[in-house]
Amino acid sequence: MNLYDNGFLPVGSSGDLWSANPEFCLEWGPGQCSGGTQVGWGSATYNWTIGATSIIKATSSSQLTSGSPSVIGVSGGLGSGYVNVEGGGCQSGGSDPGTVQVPTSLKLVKAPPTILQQGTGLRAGCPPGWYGIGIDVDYQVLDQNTKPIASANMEPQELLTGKTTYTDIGGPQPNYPQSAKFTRVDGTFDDVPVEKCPPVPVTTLTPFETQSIQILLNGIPYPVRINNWSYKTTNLPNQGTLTNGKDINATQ
Amino acid sequence: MRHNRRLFLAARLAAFACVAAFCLSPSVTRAQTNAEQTVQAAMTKGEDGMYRAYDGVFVKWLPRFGDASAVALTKLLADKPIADADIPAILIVVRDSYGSPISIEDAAERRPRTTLYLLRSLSHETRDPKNTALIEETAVYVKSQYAAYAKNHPDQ
Repeated sequence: MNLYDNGFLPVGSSGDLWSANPEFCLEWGPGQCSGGTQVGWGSATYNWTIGATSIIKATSSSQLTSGSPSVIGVSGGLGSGYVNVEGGGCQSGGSDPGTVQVPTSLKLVKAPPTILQQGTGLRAGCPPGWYGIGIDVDYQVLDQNTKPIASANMEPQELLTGKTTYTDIGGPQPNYPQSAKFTRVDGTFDDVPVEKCPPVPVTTLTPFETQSIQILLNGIPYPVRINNWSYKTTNLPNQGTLTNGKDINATQ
Repeated sequence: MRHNRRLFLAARLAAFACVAAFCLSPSVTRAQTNAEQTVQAAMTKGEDGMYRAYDGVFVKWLPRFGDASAVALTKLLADKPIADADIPAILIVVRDSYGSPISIEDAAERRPRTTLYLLRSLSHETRDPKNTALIEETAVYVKSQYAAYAKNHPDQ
């Protein structure tokens, strides 16, 4: 029995509660299929319950005569589905635990992050001759158990210093094809470009931006990270450091 | 003498801003409003005392606006004195606004009319050879970006 595909169900998403076909048999004993030849046809009645309704709810009534009932994740946590199938004189059933995942944190996929080279056009960093540094930060969305959420439906957003509303971190940008509005199927996304390109050298580490990141999933925002960005440059163009003071440090 | 030059620049920018605003069609107004908000944010100084225009996030936002950014800059700067230290921030806004002309949402804003006017005005304003070189380099960049776009889209 499968509660849903891999046991993980992102909050707000739906999945099959019962994905296996019920088994029918010609000869059977009370409460079980035994002996005879099993065939995959006939009609069945599903009776099912959900173990934790606060985190998983059903999309239909608790008894169906055809098809597979589906469930929808409501909030993060563990739950179980219990299914009993009767049909063709046979009865079978089972249960499976499942986890409803919610975005909880971001993991840095590549450390140190990719440094964008100065220039123009595709994947460029600071303009030629300017000071500072630009980077491409590759994140992966993790759930409450620090496991990746494999979903392409998550929308990373940011709130920057001086702004009052969140805006998308990514979107169609011809110069940065790795930037996208939604996460990739493995739950990763790029924040690019992250850069500071002053026209003059700034040789002491200087804070310049607070970036609050949230993941929007099925209309629900989940705060996942705050980056307090600082930078410094050398006295040479195209040289500098960007850091969030924690796990992101890039120097060129 | 320099004071008179600045007054003259402010007057020219104000006049151009009025003409630009008068010429805006209703369809352009929304893009212009967004450009004005974004340019205003870029020309605000952050906690490090530097213009926020130097932050990467504007590389994401400004390429949608093209010439609308220059109109917004013109309106923003019309009644303010422009110091040499302000010019690099203005230039990086202009530059980022032409980072990808195909991305400019309003096709009418892809041709850099106000942008080149603004750059010419700035070149009259500064005596700093470094700024003069930056202005010239920015103009070359904007022209080359638009030329590359126009070459690939001769119908527009």
